[in-house]
Amino acid sequence: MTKDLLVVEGLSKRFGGLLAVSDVSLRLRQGEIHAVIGPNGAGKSSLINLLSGDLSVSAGRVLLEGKDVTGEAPHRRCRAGIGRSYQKTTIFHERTVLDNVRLAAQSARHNTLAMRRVRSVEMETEAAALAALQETGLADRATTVARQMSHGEQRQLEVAMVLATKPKVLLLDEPLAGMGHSEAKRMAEVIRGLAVGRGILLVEHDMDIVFAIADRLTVMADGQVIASGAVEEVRRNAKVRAAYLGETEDGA
Amino acid sequence: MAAMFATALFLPLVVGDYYLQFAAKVMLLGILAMSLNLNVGFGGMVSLCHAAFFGLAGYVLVLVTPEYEAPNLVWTLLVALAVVALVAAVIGALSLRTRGIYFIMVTLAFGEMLYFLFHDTSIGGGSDGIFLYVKPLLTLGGLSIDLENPLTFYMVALVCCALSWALITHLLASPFGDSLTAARDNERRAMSLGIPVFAVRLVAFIVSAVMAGLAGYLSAAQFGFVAPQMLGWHMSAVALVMVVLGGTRKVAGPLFGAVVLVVLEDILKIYLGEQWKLVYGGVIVALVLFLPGGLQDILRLTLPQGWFRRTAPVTQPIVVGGKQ
Ligand SMILES: Nc1ncnc2c1ncn2[C@@H]1O[C@H](COP(=O)(O)OP(=O)(O)OP(=O)(O)O)[C@@H](O)[C@H]1O
Ligand SMILES: [Mg+2]
Repeated sequence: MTKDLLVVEGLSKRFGGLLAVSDVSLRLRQGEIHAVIGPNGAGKSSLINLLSGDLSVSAGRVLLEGKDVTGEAPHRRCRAGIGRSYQKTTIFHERTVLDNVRLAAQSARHNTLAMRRVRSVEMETEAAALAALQETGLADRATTVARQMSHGEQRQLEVAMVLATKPKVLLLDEPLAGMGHSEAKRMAEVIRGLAVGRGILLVEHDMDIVFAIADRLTVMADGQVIASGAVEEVRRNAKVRAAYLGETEDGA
Repeated sequence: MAAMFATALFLPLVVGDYYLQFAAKVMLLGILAMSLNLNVGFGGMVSLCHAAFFGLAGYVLVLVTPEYEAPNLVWTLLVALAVVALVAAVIGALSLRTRGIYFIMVTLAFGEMLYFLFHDTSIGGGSDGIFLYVKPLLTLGGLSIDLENPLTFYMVALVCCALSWALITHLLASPFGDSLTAARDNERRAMSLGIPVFAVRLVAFIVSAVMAGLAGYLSAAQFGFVAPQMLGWHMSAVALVMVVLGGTRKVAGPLFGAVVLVVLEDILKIYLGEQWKLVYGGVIVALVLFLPGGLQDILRLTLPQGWFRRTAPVTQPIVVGGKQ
């Protein structure tokens, strides 16, 4: 039986006169990749920011495994099991790859105010960090300074850091953006693998990849959900073809 | 660094009391500057009220000292540091809600409030300041530490300076240090990785204030006098200049900044007489401008992100194997 990890009810975000996210409801199940697509400015990143706590909601609720986390600060949501990556890479450029993931593993699951190192904690952190690198295919880059990596590898590190926090839910904001074709395909496979035992909300522009790895699909436009459901179902939806895939409703 | 502190133990063998006192003064200012840099360089919080903590501890020592009786070193120090910690907790909790240039202005305002508290009221002798007639003393069995003795005082200052350096170094190597520097480098990402940024910064602010308080306590004991100038923004700015001169990236950097600044002041006073301040200012401006590192860091930490990027060389990701 698959369970709902994340339940979103009537979520809205208003920026002055602009309704960036408008009454969005969706569910994220364990083991599932739920893709969110939509044109630029549709509100995809804003939605992720609402779920991670980077933005405060104007209306609606966010439930993680049935627990209301709507008012929780970002660091608490991370510790509760919601991990997120950013559309714009936010790795720590001056630190090595291993230090980046180690920082993530340590911060999310241990005492961030601890004023001395504890052996058992260090070992656990190291193990979680190495596992995250292994899973994202960065294991052989551990000692490289993040700044010196290619753009694609930096995007991989962005995801590896989320993974090191041992999240139940991953919110990935365009993790493949700017990657070359083969690189993107490899990364897509990695992401597919991450869904085992976790739930992934994936914002992505590349349709081929979305259709290849997503289980469910939500289409957004102007802050609203215009269609949501199993991938094939949404793909055939006339409204989606018109609004997003650029076809006219009576044409095709 | 440990070797340098060890070498400094032998200074009393080669110089007289005057230079010992001078060296002790430099080290106390070094503690102040190093503690400030825990906030500025490692925490990304450019505080302009650290002199207030420095001066406050000095005032507390003088105020709790009974007249004509030697104050107990241990408990007067504990009281002074406790008061500083409490005040820092309040100031920190309020000012850490702001960032960058606003944080500078809010801490400046709080610092000035403390300055005027002692300047305009009679709590501590008003604008004239107040004398400490007898210096702190500690008797432990047969051993007694009397801060009246220049050699003893020098040793105490040296030990405190070394301990401050060791403590900051230790903190930065701990998970707490990781959290603090992560929050400096990218606050948003730090939060999303589970770091309670506000709490981390508040703790760093209080720890740093307490260390500044230690320096201020000893300074008051050394000169036997406290005045409102000890708390003012001018003093805070001097500490910040030490940080900038010494560089923000190394724990001991600001200590060397303190050495340079105090020695420079003394030399200029001796050779130039009245006009020393003019040259002093000029030399500092030149040093700050031509020694990159410290100043650039301060600018990066206080200006909105985009501003500085434009003037700084942008670090590009290196293209590997034709990718990207
Ligand atoms: N902090 C903010 N303040 C004001 N408006 C904002 C803010 N963040 C986003 N917006 C606006 O909200 C709308 C949705 O932006 P959002 O970044 O969520 O879109 P997106 O779907 O992620 O687009 P893209 O595909 O370009 O990443 C846009 O019109 C944007 O200008
Ligand atoms: Mg976006």
